[in-house]
Amino acid sequence: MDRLGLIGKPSDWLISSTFDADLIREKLHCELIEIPIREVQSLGEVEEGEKGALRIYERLKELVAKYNLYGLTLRCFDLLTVCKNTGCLALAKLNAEGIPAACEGDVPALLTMVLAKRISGYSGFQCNPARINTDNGEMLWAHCTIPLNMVDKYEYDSHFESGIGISIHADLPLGDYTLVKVSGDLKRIFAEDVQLVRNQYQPNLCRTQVWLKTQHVIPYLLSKPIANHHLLVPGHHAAEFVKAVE
Amino acid sequence: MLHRLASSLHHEELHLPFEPDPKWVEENQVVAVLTGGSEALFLEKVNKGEISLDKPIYLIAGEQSNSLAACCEILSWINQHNGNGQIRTHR
Repeated sequence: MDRLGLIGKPSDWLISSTFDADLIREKLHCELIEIPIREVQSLGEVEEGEKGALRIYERLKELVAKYNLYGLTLRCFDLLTVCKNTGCLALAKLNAEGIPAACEGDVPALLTMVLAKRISGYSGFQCNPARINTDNGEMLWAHCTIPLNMVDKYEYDSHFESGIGISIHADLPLGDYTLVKVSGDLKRIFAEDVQLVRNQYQPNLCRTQVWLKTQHVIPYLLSKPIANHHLLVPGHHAAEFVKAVE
Repeated sequence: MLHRLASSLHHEELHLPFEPDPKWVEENQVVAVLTGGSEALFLEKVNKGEISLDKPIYLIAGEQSNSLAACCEILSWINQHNGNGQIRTHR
């Protein structure tokens, strides 16, 4: 049984990202462990920039060891006011080390990352849909952290919403990816093999920004999305994801 | 009726992505979701009876400030609660 840490409750805006712990235990063989966010907030105000962001990373590593975690999701916005820095770099590094680590306390996103890790070896890029081009089927997806083992190159920026701390702007290799999401009760899955066609870097968006060429993603998102966050996983694995939750 | 939602998480200048047809707005429940983080504001309006799940809900998504992301979270909630909704990105 893999142990997944819920460090803080899901963010208030994740209104549809609910979950069923019993089904998760039964179907994914994962146990959810609730950990108070104060176990990270007790760091207090940390240094600005990379040094402070690495202190958050080190604290999360301690929690991974303390609770024997396979993965975690972090109510990261609660660090902004107390620690005056972000969890973006910490999550980017944990994911690169093979520990699925999701943002905003999002449990369905974490479950999708666990599946992605089992299927592809990567946790995947947890990202928001940002723009749609209905003319050519291209979509922009973005977020402020990304597993560092998925990128060609990266640099630091400030966190988009707060303007403080460290976030990651990265360029990803172009080519084959899977866009995937499971619901928190594991009863719905969306998975499509897509192409990453270009990277971009513009203001008023989360910092890592990729354009995907898709077939069915746009009508799905505009009518029956499985919440906001989706995972972008290297390689074409859509059929494997669907089989994994059947 | 047009409802505008924006979260205090965002400090950018916010605009409607397109000017909706006044007749369409008058005849329907239209929600302009201007920023991410405004999902709980949507629930407040539902709880106050200002938005009803008994009629279709049209969500207007823009191209910045995580507007589309918030629309997806809200539409997912509407569907979970047996409502009927749709995201619009242009007129």
